[in-house]
Amino acid sequence: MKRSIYSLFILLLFTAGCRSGEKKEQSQLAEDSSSTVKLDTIYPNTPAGKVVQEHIRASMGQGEDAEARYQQSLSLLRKEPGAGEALYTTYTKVPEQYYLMRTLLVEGLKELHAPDALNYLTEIANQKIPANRLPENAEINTRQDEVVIRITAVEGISALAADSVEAAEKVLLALTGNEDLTVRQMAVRGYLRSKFGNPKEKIEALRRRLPEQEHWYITTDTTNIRQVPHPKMPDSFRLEPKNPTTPPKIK
Amino acid sequence: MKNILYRSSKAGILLVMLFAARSASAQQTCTVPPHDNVADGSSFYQTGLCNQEKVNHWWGVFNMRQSDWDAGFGYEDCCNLDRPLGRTFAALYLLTYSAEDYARSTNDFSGNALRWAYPYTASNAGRLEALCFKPGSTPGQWAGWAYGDRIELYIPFFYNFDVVTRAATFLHEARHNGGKSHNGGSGCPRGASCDTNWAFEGANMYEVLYLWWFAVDGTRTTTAIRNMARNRARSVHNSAFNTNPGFSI
Repeated sequence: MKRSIYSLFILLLFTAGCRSGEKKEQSQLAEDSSSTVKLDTIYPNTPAGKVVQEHIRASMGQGEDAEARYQQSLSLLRKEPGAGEALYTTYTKVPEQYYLMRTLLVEGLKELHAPDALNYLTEIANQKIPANRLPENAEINTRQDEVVIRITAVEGISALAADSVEAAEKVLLALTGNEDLTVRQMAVRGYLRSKFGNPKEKIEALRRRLPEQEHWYITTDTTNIRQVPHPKMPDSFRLEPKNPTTPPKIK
Repeated sequence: MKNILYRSSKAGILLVMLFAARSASAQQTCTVPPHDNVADGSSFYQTGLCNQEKVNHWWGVFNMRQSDWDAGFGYEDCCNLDRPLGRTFAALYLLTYSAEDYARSTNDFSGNALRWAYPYTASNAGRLEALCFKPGSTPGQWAGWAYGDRIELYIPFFYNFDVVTRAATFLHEARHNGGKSHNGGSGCPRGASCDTNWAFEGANMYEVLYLWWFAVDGTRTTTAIRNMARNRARSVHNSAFNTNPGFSI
């Protein structure tokens, strides 16, 4: 009997403990002087640097007039003589983990459609892709972030090839041998869409150059997303509150 | 009787010690890592997210609780983009309002992923919780973990990801809670979190579709962000499936 009471006592206490531990762990988050960073200082202190800084802000814009403001900024960027150099200089100074900012700087170089940006774009497209910084986490892959940057550069080179910059086409052909599949794919697309050469002959040459399992991307065509299999969704979703706890109050 | 009391108090002391040890091991501490809200795109969503009606909606639908989001995580100042809660709301805002017809049509979710990404996520994510790091893991390595009826989010999710990636990650993790874990082992080019193929309809397919549709049809954003989403879709398409789907995005 005594043993039963004792066991019950322990069981009740332990069960109560489990319930109170519904959230598995408690976290405390603090802030220190290193928490907030201002990357504004990495832009060149020149007129072109100011234009680039404003353009990156416009690129990230959100709202009904975001696109209009972005296009207006792009016009200013294209008129700025030192824009290419300012974009590239800034790119080289951005800490590696700011992938969005790095991508948008390369997007700016791409959208210049300027032959003197070719060297910068080529440099970026050919940069070795660093290994994944977070290998323990299967759901994050920083290598993919780097690939996004590389293929944005390839798109810029492709735009120049389409604008009849012959040197750009040569760079694209070289990039069809890149270590990364997506870089190779986008280089092939840009190479085939350039103004030079006979498209059929170029396709044949690429088929000889690339392994057979990669011949699927030797095309200038793109897939219409509406033709791609989609999951079937229900006719409606239930979006009612699941837990009536007090939401935070906006100050 | 005395013996029982003695044994009970001995048991009580033992349990107090156990709970104390458990509490100590369960307490995580961390510091807001270096970040720039302009550089990662978060600051541009401040106006949209800082709305009591929207906050009330997300709070209820995602089963959020004060105890999961206080202690520095932002409950006390939910519009503050330096804190995890504000950064979470920024991503939810993007996920909610990236379709042109978000406010008008609520009974036809076929096709365009921008129309079903948010309601799918809201219906399947379960409870959203914030922690410093995944229990038992190296701090800073994991961004989130889907447990079936809840999603834990960790410091890298809040501060290493830009706002678009955070939005796509919500959908990805919600697909896991919707019943599909990855089934491809390490058999895809990126060697982890692989799905066998497109027909499996897993989290990678959902992520690619969202990014791809964002590039095609995203609204209240810029061509630059849409182009970035398209390139991210290309990268995931080519690296996350054991059998490449073979689309030219």
